[in-house]
Amino acid sequence: MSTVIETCQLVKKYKLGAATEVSALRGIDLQVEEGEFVAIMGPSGSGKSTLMNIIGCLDVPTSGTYRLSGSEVSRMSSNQLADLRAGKIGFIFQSFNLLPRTTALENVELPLNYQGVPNARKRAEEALEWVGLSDRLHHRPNELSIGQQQRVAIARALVTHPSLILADEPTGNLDTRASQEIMSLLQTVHRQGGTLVLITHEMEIGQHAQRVVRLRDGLLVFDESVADPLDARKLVAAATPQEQTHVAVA
Amino acid sequence: MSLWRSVQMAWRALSHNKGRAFLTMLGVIIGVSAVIMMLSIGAGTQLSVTSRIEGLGTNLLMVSPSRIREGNIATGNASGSLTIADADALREVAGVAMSVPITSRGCQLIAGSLNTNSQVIGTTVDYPATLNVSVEQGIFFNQNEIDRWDKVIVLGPTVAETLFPDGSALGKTVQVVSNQTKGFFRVIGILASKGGSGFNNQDDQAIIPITTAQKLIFGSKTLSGIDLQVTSSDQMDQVTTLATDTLRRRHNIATGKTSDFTILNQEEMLGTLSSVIGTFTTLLAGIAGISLLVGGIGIMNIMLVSVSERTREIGLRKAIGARSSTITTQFLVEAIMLSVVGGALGIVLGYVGSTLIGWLGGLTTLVDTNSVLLGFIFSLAVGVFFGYYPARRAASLNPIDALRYE
Repeated sequence: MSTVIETCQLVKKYKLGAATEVSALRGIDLQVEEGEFVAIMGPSGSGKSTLMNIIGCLDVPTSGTYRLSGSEVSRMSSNQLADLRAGKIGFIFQSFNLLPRTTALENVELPLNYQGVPNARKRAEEALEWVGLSDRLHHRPNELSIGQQQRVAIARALVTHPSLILADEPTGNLDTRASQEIMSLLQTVHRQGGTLVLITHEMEIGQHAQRVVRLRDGLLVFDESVADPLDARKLVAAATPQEQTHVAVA
Repeated sequence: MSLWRSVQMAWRALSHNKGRAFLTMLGVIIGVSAVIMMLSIGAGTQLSVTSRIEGLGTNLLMVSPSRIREGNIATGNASGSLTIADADALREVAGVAMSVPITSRGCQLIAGSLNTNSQVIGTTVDYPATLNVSVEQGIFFNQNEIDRWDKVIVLGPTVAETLFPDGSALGKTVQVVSNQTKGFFRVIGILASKGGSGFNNQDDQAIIPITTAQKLIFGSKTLSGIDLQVTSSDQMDQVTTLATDTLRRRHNIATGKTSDFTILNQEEMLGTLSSVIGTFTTLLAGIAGISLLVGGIGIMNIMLVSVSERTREIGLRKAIGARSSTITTQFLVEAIMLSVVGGALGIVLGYVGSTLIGWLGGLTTLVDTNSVLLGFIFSLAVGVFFGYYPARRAASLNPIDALRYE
């Protein structure tokens, strides 16, 4: 098993005006192995978004090193970072960020186009089939439910076969039912060998992961394996009759 | 990412908001069509002037009377300085093949119930050869008719057509009415058409013997000009000098005083007119070009709006691996598409507009390949120039901020 994420004394400072400086990260050492499912948790202002941006190669640290799958990222140019994002990272956002007026298929194809991969269409179809949307290929985002929209976003993240999948509050905009379905899907990705990093502030969601890392004030304060992660499949199964009665009562 | 995909993407982005895209293009459409119409008027005018002057005849020098000025005061009579005797004297100058005196007036020509106002020219037998005019029907008058002051007339095709719509002009009688007097003339010939139009139409004139003109119709011995045909084109300058000397001597003009006539070289005239028309065309096209520039600013404006509307989209594209250059290309292609489609529509509109100006305005217009090419290249350049800044702005967005943009 190889190491996917390896950070060493990661520091990120932001300048606010001429004299003031804020440290968002104050020395993070984090290692994530291939095939792990890690939840990064913490209250807002703890630095988890900053950490995610650096792990996701959207930003570079002020000091310290970050190796993604063995390559040193901290001092890369913006073009190198872009190529890395295209090839090695799959993003899942809280607000999905699908292109409007563009079909599900074309949304999923997009990262492959930036990579210049052949058979983009076929691979995008496969990815959408995998998330259970083979009958929604030519629907536009506004013709899909929000749960389906997030599935399209997951298909877009998976289609490049990235070495790391980064999910930033993937259930933040979803209702409980859809959240459980999405978590179930992410757990399936994990079971099939994908490396996932999940950023969330919801305890319930974090407990689906195999390992929980907590941040506070820019420092790692807690890093522990979850003995018995919640199985989203069971939750989904359990919720189904319950919700039906709920609907009946309502 | 291939350019073709960028083009497809740009097409989709623009067709989503067709009304806005069209309004944005309108500036370029109007600019390019205006440039093309102005250039077509310029080229058409150039063409018609050139052909008209060339139609006058080859190796032609035109002597015309001019006012004598002493300081700022005109002291001589402009129309009084040239006579038939001058024309005879110039015929003796070395290098002059023919010397043709010309006197002309606007007269009314009447035949039956029809009439027209045309230029009546009194001249000699050498006129057709010197001015490149040929008689299509009938004959030109000869020296005998000049000597006898015969009242014979050769009509230009336009005049013949106007007065005798049934084509029966030859042998008929036409009444010529000048401001002095009037007289009945027998039509002995009709000129071949030279295809002129508008001002100084060579088809809209009538020719009579110079003696008849001076003594019976115009009542004046002065000439409106003398046309000289020079034996060969390399003698033009030499003949101009000799003719000037001859006339100054005959008119007793002291050294240092200005002449009471001017000699125009046909080629010089052509050159001067061409450069005047050229300047005029450049000026018009330049003004039209400014509207193209304004159209470009419109494109830049809309592209900037589009960039800020699509900030999140740009953030996402960068997050999933688009390089800055890819984003630049995407927005640049959109701007270029706007300007090039606008340019193409402008070319079509310009072409249609030029044709309409030709039909309705009575102007000769000529849309040549160069002006179409110029319009197209200009609109392309406008797209690149005014699209670059918004595109760079899109590409320079920080993906983190762009993704959070509301």
